[in-house]
Amino acid sequence: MDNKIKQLRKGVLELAIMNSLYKQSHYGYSLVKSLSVENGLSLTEGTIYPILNRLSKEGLVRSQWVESRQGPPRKYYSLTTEGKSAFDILIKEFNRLEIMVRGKEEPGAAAEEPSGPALVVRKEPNDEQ
Amino acid sequence: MNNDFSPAVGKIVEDYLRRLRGHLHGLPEKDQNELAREVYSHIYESFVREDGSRDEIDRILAVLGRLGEPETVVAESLGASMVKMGKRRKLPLYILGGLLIGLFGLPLGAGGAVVFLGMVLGLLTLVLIYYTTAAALTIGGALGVLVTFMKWISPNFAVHLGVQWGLAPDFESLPARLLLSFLMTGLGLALFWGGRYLMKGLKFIIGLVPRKIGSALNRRRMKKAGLTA
Repeated sequence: MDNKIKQLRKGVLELAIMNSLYKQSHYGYSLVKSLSVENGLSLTEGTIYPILNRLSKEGLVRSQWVESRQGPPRKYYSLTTEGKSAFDILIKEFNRLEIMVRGKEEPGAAAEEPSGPALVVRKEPNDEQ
Repeated sequence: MNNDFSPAVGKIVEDYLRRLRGHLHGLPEKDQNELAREVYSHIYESFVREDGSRDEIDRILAVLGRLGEPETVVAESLGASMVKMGKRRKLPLYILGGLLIGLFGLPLGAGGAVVFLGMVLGLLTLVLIYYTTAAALTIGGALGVLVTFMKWISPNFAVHLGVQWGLAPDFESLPARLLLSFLMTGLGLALFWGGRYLMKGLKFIIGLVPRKIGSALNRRRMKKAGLTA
């Protein structure tokens, strides 16, 4: 079962990372924090690096070393234009998949649960930096 | 790069980064440095946000525990094929380690080191024998070709010199002797050529084992210090 959870997380984690970088640029550690604060899941922090590396290679993410006021320089990542349009497509697909997994919500059932689905990924295109 | 931590903490961080680099063989030096720098930065940022009232060793171990094993950080960055290659390259070492433990019932301690030394000496002797054979075949074959030729041209050649050469006494005809001599030379040269791989393999074994033992000891120390695998 652990393996199944791992597999599921891996795919979703990539999407969550893109979502975080959509809003603002992050260095590795702050990206981890933004992810754990938002979903409350415990995360083996090192797992973000292979994903960031792959996204960089695909041109969806760009990175830049920035001097820090305290301590060693930080490597900041942000989503490229291609990355943003890729995310827009992926998040639509993700929402469709979510409906597929949960089953089509009947109009009556939706009304009974006013809290709404728990897996909404927030997206704020405006840079908050 | 290490003035950011106290010596004790810096040592643990260094160990971790060395293990990380151990998983990056085959990647360009530049990429290795880039990832090591980035992970170092991560460790720093994470460490300075730890609760300062705790012991600094506990803090750094907690930081590294959350970061995960170096394998986690590098997984995929080499591509699946490279990872596979790395696994294959480790195989002879597992066999060697298994042999040592199987024979002596102890991990790679002093006894293991002595056995390893013995194996290296044995291998070196083998290499020496290998090259001696190659040289003997090449020189013997070449001389055979030369003498046969001379004898062909002047049947009295060998008699004049008093050379008694009977490489293959059954072969009475000169062309057969010539062919045999050519084959010998060819075999000798082929052995020399194949020796390159022999040397490569030897260098690989001699160089890799001590390094692997070092990294295994490191890992054990980290585990002992409370890091989960």
